[in-house]
Amino acid sequence: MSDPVHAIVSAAHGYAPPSAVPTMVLVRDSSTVANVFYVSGDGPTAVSGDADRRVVLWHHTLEKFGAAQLNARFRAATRAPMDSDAWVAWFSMKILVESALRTRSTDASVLDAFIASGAFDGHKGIPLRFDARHQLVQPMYAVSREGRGGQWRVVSEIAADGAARPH
Amino acid sequence: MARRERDRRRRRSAPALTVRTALPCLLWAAYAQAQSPRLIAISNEMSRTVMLLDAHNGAVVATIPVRERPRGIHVSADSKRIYVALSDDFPNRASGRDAIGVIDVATRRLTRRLPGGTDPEQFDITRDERVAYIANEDAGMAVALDLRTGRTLASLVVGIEPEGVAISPNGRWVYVTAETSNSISVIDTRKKEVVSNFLVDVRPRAVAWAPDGARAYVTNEISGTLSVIDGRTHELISSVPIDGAQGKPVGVVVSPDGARIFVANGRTGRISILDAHTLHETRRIEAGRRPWNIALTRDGRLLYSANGLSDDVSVIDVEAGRVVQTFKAGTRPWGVALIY
Repeated sequence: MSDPVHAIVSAAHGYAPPSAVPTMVLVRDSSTVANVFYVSGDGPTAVSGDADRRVVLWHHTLEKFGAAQLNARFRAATRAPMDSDAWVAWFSMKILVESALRTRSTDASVLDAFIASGAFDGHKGIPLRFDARHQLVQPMYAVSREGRGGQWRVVSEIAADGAARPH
Repeated sequence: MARRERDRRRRRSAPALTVRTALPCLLWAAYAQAQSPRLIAISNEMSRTVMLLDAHNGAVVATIPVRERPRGIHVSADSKRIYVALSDDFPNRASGRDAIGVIDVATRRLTRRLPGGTDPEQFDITRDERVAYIANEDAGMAVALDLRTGRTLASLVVGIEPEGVAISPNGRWVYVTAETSNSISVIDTRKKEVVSNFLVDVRPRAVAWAPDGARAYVTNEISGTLSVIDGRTHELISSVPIDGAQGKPVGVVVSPDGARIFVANGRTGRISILDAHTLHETRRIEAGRRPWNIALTRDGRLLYSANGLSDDVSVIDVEAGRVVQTFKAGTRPWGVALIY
């Protein structure tokens, strides 16, 4: 019988591939990393002329696919807008809890297999899955702001296949 | 033959006609009238109105302002009252403007606003019209509301983002779907308690019971599937893909004989008809844009879909398998109910 699973949801450094943050780590015991699933983080900010642009995982103004409800719940619970890091933490925990409920198991290898093959709802309108490299395949959002003090606004949704659609 | 003689003969034969032909005709007409609705009630979420349309030609009979966003909509068994869930624009806040509205069909007025908890979306009413069970989407709760006194009989914790609500035909159980936790909560109406929770596929939206209560059907929007539930043990029996797994199933109804299941596929714009026995899709019908919720006539012949993005209602002839009429609705029609 394996040891109980420890879920670590963090933005800690150490396991991160370039431009991504490790967000879910399943550990078989206190020292050995069994598997890492990357829900990932935002892209860097690009400055072009007067407008800054950035690609993000989540934005507090999203509304479709139940995003409005999730944003409202997060704001009510924390009095803060849900940013990408908050969404990643929430979704990572949701994946882990749902996997434990669906498999009725806290066994790391059982959860590992379920997470690797399962489809999860991150309020982005499509089932989200991990690819062979354990990266979550998901839509992202292009946001832009006018000048440094401007508000970031969603300008387009970038589908999981890379196609951009106006928001 | 003289004209007068012809008239006399016609008059003499008239009583025979009445007994043999006209009476069955009258009975048939009365039966047909009871089977086909007089009016269609539509909740227009963005126009903030409940619209009554003539069921035969789609003419607007009344546009009733309801002030808040109307979504879930039901008609009383005697067709005298419309119940409609009204939500304000402030989630997570019970503002007194969140309500279950009662519309008097005869006067076409919103006559009562009953407290339905915060952000009421879908609900169902007991057969005796005494209690409504209501999903409070942002609170993760379901409430049992006494429709006579307006008192809350129970506030129950269900899944996260509860949406679909359906009372079993025998009145004993209420199933409440929850979109985020992918769960169904089972309320025992005698104890007014949640007695069981179980998981279905991803993003369960709506639930409908078979008329005999042996099964219930749940639409899973993100998985694109229909889950079949054992209505006695409250367990998942199976899950089948809808619309070639391309569907985003939302609204679901079962035919009065239990033989067919109708599913509105939202974004694909199609209605699927399933054989309830084999669970095979026997038909896919193109409706308007984003058919959201649907209603079936008592005789199971006509299906109405509220199309959220084309702002209209499709009238579908079930046997012919196609849209036979399209009625203009308000902005963002959400639900449809039938008045006899």
